[in-house]
Amino acid sequence: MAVLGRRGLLGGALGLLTLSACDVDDLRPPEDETLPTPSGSASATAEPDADTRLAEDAAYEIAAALVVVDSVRRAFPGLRGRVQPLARMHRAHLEVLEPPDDRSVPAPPRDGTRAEALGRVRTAEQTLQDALTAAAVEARSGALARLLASMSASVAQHRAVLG
Amino acid sequence: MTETDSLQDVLATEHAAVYVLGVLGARTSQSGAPDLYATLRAAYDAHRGRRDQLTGLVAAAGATPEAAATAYDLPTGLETPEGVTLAGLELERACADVYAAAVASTTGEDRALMIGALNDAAVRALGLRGTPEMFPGAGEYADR
Repeated sequence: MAVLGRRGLLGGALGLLTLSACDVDDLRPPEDETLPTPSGSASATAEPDADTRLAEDAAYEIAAALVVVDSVRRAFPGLRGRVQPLARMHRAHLEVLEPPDDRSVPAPPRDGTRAEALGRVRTAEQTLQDALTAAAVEARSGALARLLASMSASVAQHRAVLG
Repeated sequence: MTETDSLQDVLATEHAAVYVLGVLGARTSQSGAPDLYATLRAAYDAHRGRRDQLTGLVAAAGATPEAAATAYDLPTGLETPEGVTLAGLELERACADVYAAAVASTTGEDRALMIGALNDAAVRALGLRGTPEMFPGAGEYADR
């Protein structure tokens, strides 16, 4: 038996989510969905306030990274090809987790050399990956944790390609 | 399903991954395709390490770790380096799916471990001609 073939089974159990942007309530499984129940202190049933704040904070971090990427993309057109995939990723993630309206992201510096600009992007992406990972660990909802972990993995992939 | 059950599921997946990667390595010429061989070797070592780590975690939780099967179904098309590469890529993506699912059903240190394993599998996939995904291990979000 190929255990790897079980992918569909697990995906089916957890892939029942059809999300619309922003509302963390949507990340909670339907009441009739049987999610595994962790035995630790957190439960698979979300605690709305805590997870809503967590999702908003994560979206803010994504938006902050996107601002850095967009700033570098505009200031250094020669880097556009390298950073464009990052911008696409962040926008895709923000379609799922919309940032709160009441928190603006500070504008990053636009001066410096091309190498310094790339360094800012690398730092922003590392910061984002760390934040997404920490949020995934902290999330009360298993579904939200999985989403944030997946976003973290996407950032890890894009960082590896960026070099 | 308990948290230990989730770890057992991931352990069973790692048993399969170690087996399949061993076969993929054996079907790859170290001299003819050195980069692919090195990539598969590194993946094999990484999965074997995860398997051993998970075995320890399950045992520490007081359960009997899931044993490996005698054999596993193998992917087809392993006659060429391209076929082996594709099989390795699909394996890493399947592992990413399983680890992502385990993220949802674990907490604390175990969940952190699952996230790390998900990240590792996603990055290893890039070495097998994979391209960055928007939602590794949670592809349904990309299809929205």
